[in-house]
Amino acid sequence: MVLFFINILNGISFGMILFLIAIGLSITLGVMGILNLAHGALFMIGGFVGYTLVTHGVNFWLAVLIGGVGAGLVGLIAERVFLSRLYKQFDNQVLLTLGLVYIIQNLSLWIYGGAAKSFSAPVYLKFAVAIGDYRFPAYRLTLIALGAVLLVILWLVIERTKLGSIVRAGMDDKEMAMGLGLNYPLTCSLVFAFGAFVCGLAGVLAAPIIGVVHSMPMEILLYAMIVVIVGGPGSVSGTFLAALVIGIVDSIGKAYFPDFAMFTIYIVFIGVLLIKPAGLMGKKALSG
Amino acid sequence: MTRRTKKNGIAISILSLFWILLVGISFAKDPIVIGHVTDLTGTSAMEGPYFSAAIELAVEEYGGEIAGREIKVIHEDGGSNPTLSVDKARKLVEKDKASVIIGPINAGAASPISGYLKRSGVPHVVMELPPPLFEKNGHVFAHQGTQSGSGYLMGKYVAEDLGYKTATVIHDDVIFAEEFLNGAIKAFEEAGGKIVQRQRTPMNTMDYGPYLSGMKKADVCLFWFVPPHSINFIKSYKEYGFEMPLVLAGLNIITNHFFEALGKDTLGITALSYNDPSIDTPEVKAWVKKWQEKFADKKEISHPAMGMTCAWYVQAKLALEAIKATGGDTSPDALKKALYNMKLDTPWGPVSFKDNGIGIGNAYILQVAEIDGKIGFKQVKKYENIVRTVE
Repeated sequence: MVLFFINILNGISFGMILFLIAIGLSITLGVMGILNLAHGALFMIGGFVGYTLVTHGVNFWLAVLIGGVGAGLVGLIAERVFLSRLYKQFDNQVLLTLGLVYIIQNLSLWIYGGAAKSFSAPVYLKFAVAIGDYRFPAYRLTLIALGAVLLVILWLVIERTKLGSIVRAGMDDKEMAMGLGLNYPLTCSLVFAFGAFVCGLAGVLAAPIIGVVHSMPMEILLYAMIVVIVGGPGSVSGTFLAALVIGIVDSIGKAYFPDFAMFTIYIVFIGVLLIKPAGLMGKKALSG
Repeated sequence: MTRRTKKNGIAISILSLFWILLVGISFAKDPIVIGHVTDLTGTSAMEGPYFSAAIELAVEEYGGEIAGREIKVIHEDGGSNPTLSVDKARKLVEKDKASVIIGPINAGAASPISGYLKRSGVPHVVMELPPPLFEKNGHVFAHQGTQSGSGYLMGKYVAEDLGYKTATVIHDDVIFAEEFLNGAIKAFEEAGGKIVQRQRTPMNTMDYGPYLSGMKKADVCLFWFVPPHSINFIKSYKEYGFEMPLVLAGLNIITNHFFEALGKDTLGITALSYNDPSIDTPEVKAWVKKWQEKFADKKEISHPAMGMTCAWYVQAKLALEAIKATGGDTSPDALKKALYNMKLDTPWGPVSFKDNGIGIGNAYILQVAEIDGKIGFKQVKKYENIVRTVE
């Protein structure tokens, strides 16, 4: 029973990372209708910025913030210079963002080399908490708490602020929102940059667990896409729920069904698509 | 002489000179082409630049030519992808006329390349391969033998020298890791040891938490992952508070990058290597110095941090010495015969081959320790002239 509980905790901590990765993608897909396949590259940028700062003695939490800002800036530039010209052009968005992934990946390879980089969590979090006969790292418990705090903040912003109401209005009817005089393009740019910022934050927070390496963008993107589609594009609560479900299913699958560990999350993915194509909390299914 | 006659004479002279040059060029010797399939992108990318540099160092020792023929090395990026790697090998053989193929490190790609080269007959000089690919008088020459051989030696050391009775096993779910641990488990059980658990992790695993939570306690943990996964695993292993000694039950992939990334978390890890830059002999030290002098201006590879760098140097030397032994004859049969008769002296001892292409040479057990304030390897045992497979 204790082991089962530990595996649930593993799943929740991994799920929190998935939530932070996927929330930006969910909002930009749901709000702006932009499929940003370079989202995994933004995660990697955050991780590398964090690595550079922490290994040069910068405070870990400051590095988290700066990593987020770095990814946010790259996201903003990508949106303003490229993606804003490709509204409703799904095919071109896919091609463009895939190209960006390859460019960013190869730049990372050139600057940081092919070896995986890693750095440690703050020293005061480098201990394990005893739970029965088992031990669970304190840093992962911190991630769970941080994820919950960020969920509350994001929910408050989307549901309780003017910016959030503009975002929600745009998701429902973009043309009507613009017709009412709302500065929707500016809002979209800010939303895109914010999504990239959160993804960059995730890159730094996750690095003490999964490291950072030039080949990770597509692996991260795959997880993010699964979470977004299972949760429903544009839904903060849906993304959070999906991230937890995927994280826990992945963890339980690895612990109890190791021969099927590669497939467990895809089983959930397929199941949700068959039963509720719009996702757990989504309003409408994605169409091509 | 009229002006017309003069013009005709000049034209005929130019044409004759051109014809002589053409004939001369056609009689010039073709270069010796060595094909190298490596990984400059993808999951095995961190070693790629080192391997190309190791071959370059070896070629330099021959002055860039053998028997009057220029040595031309063509490096192709297999992208850590088996399909792409085979395509590159095909291009090297059929378009570039490579006489021998070296690499890649990724056994998932090296195996199908060997399969293709068997049909073409071109010798394949490689580091390690699974046992089914070796056959008597075949075209494969793996100086580090089979993966199970590396694992077997480590399993034997752990049981007989360290005296451990139980082991928990965890590794990447991939062909070469499977072979490493099969060898280690076989040796461990033959010596009376008991495996309490074996966990295989999918190659797309990012978080090792679920596997570590369920890890059973034993005297020792035998593990093997590709380098990026190894770093994540070792870090998480320490975070979960495990104290079982860690033993890398296969090819050593722990390098300076690990020491930088993990620091003291690497202390005590035991590994096996056939050729490593940290082995403490004058010959190896001299070779490392030669490397550092040659690549001083290339900061990213100025130290041969990758143990497998040395393996690539050995592979290149094997190919080049074989070509030298045949007097520049690069036909497949001549090269194969030369390789089978090879006894190459390397900084890590002599290397030769059995009649099926499996390597024979020394092996070293290394342990991560703090030496003069720096983290590095110390040698704890040496095996001499062993056949690098499970016999």
